[in-house]
Amino acid sequence: MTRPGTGPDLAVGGFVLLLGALALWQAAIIPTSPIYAQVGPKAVPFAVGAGLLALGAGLVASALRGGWSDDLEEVREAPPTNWRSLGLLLAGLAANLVLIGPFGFSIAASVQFVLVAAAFGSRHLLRDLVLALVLTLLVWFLFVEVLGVNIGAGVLEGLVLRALGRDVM
Amino acid sequence: MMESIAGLQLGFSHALTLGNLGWALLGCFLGTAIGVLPGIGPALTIALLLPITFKVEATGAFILFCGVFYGAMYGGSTTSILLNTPGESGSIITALEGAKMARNGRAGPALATAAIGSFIAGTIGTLGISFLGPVVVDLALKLGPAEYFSLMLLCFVTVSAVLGGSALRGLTSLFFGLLLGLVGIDLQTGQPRMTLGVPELLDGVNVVLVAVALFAVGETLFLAWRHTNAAPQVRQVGSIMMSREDWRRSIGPWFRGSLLGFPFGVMPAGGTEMPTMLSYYAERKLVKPEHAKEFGTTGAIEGVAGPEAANNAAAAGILVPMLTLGLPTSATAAIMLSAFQSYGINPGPMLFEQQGALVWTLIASLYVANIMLVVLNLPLVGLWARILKIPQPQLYAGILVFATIGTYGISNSVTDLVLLYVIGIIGMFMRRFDFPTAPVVIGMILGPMAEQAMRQALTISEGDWTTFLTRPVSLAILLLALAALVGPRLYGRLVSRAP
Repeated sequence: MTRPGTGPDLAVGGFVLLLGALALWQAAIIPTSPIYAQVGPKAVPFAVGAGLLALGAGLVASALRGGWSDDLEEVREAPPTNWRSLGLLLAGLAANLVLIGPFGFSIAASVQFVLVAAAFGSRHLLRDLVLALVLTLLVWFLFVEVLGVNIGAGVLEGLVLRALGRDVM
Repeated sequence: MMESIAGLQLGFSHALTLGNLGWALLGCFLGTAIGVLPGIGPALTIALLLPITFKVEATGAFILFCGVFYGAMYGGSTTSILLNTPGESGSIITALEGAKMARNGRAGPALATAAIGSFIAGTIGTLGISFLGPVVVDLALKLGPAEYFSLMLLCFVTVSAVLGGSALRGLTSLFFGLLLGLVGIDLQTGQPRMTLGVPELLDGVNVVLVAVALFAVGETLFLAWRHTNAAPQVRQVGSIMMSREDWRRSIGPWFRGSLLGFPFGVMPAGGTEMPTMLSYYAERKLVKPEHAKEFGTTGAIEGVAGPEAANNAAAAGILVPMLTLGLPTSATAAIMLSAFQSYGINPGPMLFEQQGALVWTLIASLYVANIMLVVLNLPLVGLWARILKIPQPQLYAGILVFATIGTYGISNSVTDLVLLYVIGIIGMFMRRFDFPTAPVVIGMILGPMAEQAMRQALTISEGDWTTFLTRPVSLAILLLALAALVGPRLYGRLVSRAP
């Protein structure tokens, strides 16, 4: 019986080991002042780092004994990786990241919306875009006006505010 | 007893004002809607609503949050029954029999028994909070920092190692959360910790960001990874009228489920999986022989009524340790706790004394919310079923719009968005490799509290670590934690060795 999940499981264990090592390194460089004779700021970070190392070792050991992925029904019966969907979704996130600074929330989030919807199989590009612009503007006003979250007005929000005869923040 | 009645009187006098009723209604409405929508749950919703704490006074905000919390429980059952995809872990069992009933044209009665069962369980659970809360507070006031630390350790063990598929993976999730909780300035010494030298991390990692990353971004990424074009099928609701027979068969499971679920919620083992499963097996055993064959075939109404009641009662029970001890045992409770912190209120035994009006108004609002929810859910069930028809692409695209603004709104920083996506990708892999996500959020909130309690205890004992073992209550709690950690495995080994 082949167990194709063993390799990925091993990688997960390795990642947790790395995380533990990172935590221990960060714990080691915490400056301590001699005034605190009792438990200083380092004790718990060391414990957490050591814990992660131990858990990572446990996961590696479990992977070497055949891993756990192949025992999960969800993994065994999973459809193949949908690279198109995943790629479009990641592209949506990246687009948002790049656009939100220069153009503001509504434009960036609308581009993201269209790409995410396409990732999940939507074929109505234009309809999604209109829907996205309406939704993101509504959400922006909800968060800024109702919840009082301070998100600066971008290009589109500024236009709408001006159209409403209000000062742009 | 008298204390509770006086408290409830005070609470109702505040809860029944127009403004607070409005918050409750809004919360119930929102909660049911997000409970119905697959992919988003109460923890994510409350996280996104947290900015409200800057604008609205504490009572209104918490009434809203509790409405969302209770509403999501009601809404979750609708999805399980009509779509056969449980919205959250507590409704997995409801999906078993409920979806089968729906397939046989009995979706209406299944939804009705779930809603009424939720109402009965919610009421019993809220009564439990009202009368058990002050008792727990009296006990909790006797605990020192050492006992508190031990209690938190117990909490860590039960939320990560007892529930779920594997103690190893649960604990890894917990430690990931503890690590995230450590990032930032140490409150006692002012030293920066675990920041990797990134100045934006000096303020720590925001819990909203982590909740949104795991519950929205990670989940959506995972769904895209496995995306196929098969559209899920939504069942017709039909008439929601329960026959006399349905009523007779539901009453027992409702009450048994409620009484089973509540204690599980109260214990720091706070999970809804275990009581719903136990209730299911109990009803399967207790069912009259002539209906036994319906289990697993055409769908037995007992199998919906019992687990659904257990689910709601357990969810109500989770509020007991949250309000009286300040210990969150579910992701939603952890987010609510951080809402308390953003008002500068520390939940715990002092809460009932210092913020009596707030606590009792909150509890009174739970009764109100329950009544609102049963009214919202029975006649309006068709409306909720329509929400399920929102097409998947636009639904997930919309969820990510909210995720973006919820995170970007924290400090208008692109660094936060990068962190959101990095933790989101980790969340995707956690989902794939069966690591539970709730312990991350719980560890992140509870970790710093546990560290503070530990350092206080050690300051009192002048650095003597044995203080956790020499104080009898602390020792007892630690032994309990140890038993919870190794007990299930020892048992499993014994069972497998027996012939």
